[in-house]
Amino acid sequence: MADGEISADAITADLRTQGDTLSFWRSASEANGDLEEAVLAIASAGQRLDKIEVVYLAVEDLRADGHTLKDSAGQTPVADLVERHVDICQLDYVRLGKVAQRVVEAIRLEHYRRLTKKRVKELLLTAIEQERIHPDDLADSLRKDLAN
Amino acid sequence: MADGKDSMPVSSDSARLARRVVEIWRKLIAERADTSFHETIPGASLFPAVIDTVGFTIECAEKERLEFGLKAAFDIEPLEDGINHPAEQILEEALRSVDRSHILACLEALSVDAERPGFSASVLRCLSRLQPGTSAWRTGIVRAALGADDVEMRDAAVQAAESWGGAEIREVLRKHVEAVSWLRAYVEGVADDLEV
Repeated sequence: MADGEISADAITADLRTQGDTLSFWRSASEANGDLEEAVLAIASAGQRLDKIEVVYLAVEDLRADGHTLKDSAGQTPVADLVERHVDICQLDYVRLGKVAQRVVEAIRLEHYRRLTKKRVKELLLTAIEQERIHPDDLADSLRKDLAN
Repeated sequence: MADGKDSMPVSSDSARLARRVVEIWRKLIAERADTSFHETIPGASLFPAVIDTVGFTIECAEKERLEFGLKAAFDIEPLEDGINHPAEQILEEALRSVDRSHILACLEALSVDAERPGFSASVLRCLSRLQPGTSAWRTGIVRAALGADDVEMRDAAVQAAESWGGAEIREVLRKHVEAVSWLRAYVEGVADDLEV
């Protein structure tokens, strides 16, 4: 694809909406420690242990694009992160395109993190040790991956 | 020939029609895993000079069946990190096949196909969730995929390396020269993780 073009597969695979809504997690800052809290929220809700990559967008940019942000309880077994969840709502073709453009810009500015499987495992095991996650609240297959 | 709704569509491109008949025939063979079926299909008699049945064996049928199944599974739902995928079961069943060496050859071809990098990357990422073949076989797959022109395939190779691990795979990563900066960081990160 040419520079500036966004593949349709990237939109349908990586920006899949549900109820015209995209799910995000808030991070206090761009610091690794804060971003890893969002990673923890996402990874702990998964079915298996894998590497994970996150892209971060500024709330002011999303508001400038006219998006509707709505705080909602996140689906994560980490109780103290449940309230960090936020939805971008009322998405349509144009607004989703704007989100895609912001993601492309974020990638260009290197506003993303990719954590290896090993680092994700460390985060999850630390959270279990700190009793932020109860192992029984994890998916069986994820719990098995953590034990290996 | 009757007019209107009872008439048959006529193609002016007989070669294209013949190719379509071959596609359907091969799909039916793959579904039935029975090459003797070709003797009964009417298409063969319609295009005797065009349909090529030479070399289409049961092994080809198995590869095509595996490929159809995987493609359908990925078309319905993309493979996503952290989420189990039905294609894993398709691969597990294939690997339980009696003729493992043939299945491994099929999987190697499907996971390192430069003509279809997106599909190959998905196959390899899914395969990396299992422990197929020997350590040497897995190392060979990682090495081959790391040599691909397509960055998605190289990314899938590193993800496979991360899952499969091992000293030989770590050395393959260390020796790889990656031009794309984000992927280079991933290669280095995984190689460091495999040191421990």
